[in-house]
Amino acid sequence: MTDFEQRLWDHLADEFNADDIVMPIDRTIASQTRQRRRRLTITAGLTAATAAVAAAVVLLISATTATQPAYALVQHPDGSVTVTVHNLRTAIKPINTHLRELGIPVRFIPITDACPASNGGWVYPVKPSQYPQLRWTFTRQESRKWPAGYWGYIGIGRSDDGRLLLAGGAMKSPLPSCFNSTLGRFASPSSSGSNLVAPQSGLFRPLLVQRARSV
Amino acid sequence: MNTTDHHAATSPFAVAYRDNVGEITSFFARRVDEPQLVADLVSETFVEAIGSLTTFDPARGTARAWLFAIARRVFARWYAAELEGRRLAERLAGLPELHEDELEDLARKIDAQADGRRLLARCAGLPDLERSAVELVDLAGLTPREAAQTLGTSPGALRVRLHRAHARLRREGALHD
Repeated sequence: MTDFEQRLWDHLADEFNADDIVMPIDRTIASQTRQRRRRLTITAGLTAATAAVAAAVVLLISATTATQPAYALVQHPDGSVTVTVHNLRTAIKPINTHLRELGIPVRFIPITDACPASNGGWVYPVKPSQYPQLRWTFTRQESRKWPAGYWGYIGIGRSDDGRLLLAGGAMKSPLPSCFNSTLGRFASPSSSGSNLVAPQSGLFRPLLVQRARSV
Repeated sequence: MNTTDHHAATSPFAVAYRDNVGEITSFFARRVDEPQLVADLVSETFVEAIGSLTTFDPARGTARAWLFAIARRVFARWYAAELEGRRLAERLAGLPELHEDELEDLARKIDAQADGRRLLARCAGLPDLERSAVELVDLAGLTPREAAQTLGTSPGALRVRLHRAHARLRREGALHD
């Protein structure tokens, strides 16, 4: 590789944990191939739905140092809602209550080591320095494009070694109460028939993060 | 739950990067002549790839085909922005400014794609699919099957269009056996 290509890789590894990424081929090899392929097929068939989720969920970043409540929720005139998480541990329950009251079909789900691996979710490690604050904006228009019975979900938590973990996508109800902290892969749903939609790409699009930084 | 089993070896994404970053760079070097812009577009392609991992399905194609499809989208988006006169305000993927030696490397890469640019220019009259097929197969080195995956068409259709494009380019003296 040229110097540029090597430095770009170093940048991707440093900023986006690129060297931790497990691609689908790896999962296919590493686990029960048949079941995995079935899920990938399901995933491919729901591209439109996941794209809608991607458009609905935008991650925004801003710096903060002051003492704050566990979360902030702002309703916009166009019906969209912006949720900012200040405390990973205590924010989830009240956020979900608030979202339920507003009729927003999105739920926050904790990511924990103790959660059974059977609760599928695509969990990504990110650097705390890269995410000093977590903010999502949900738009009702986009959520209406999701398939009937599907809900958006945002998984948040920390690994044992302190890494910030995120997950996101849309899933057929009922949503699990937690995600296991297994990184970068789907945990296999224990029941027959996955209710899991793709870990939608837009949520973790670092491009959006980058742009949001300047907002 | 063991969360470290995939850290020990080089990750598949690292392999995909290593195997394809050169050709992806060349892909952009055939299109733009500013080293920093080439760097930005390459950078954005891989950042977008990281954010779009779920769109990669090994049952549907190779990582190379998937990455080229992303590169095409990235370029199309950039080009559309250029046409609208709105240069993207910020560095696309956050890569710091290039060092002097990196600028020189990329400038050399751009120069090295002069033949490729000439071939693409001669393909200007071809339909988009044929032009893209020529580039991906003849210049980027994808297999026809991979090129078909990148372009979202069938391998058979791709081969037909590629054959048609070659025939026309031969007639025009732009391609020799």
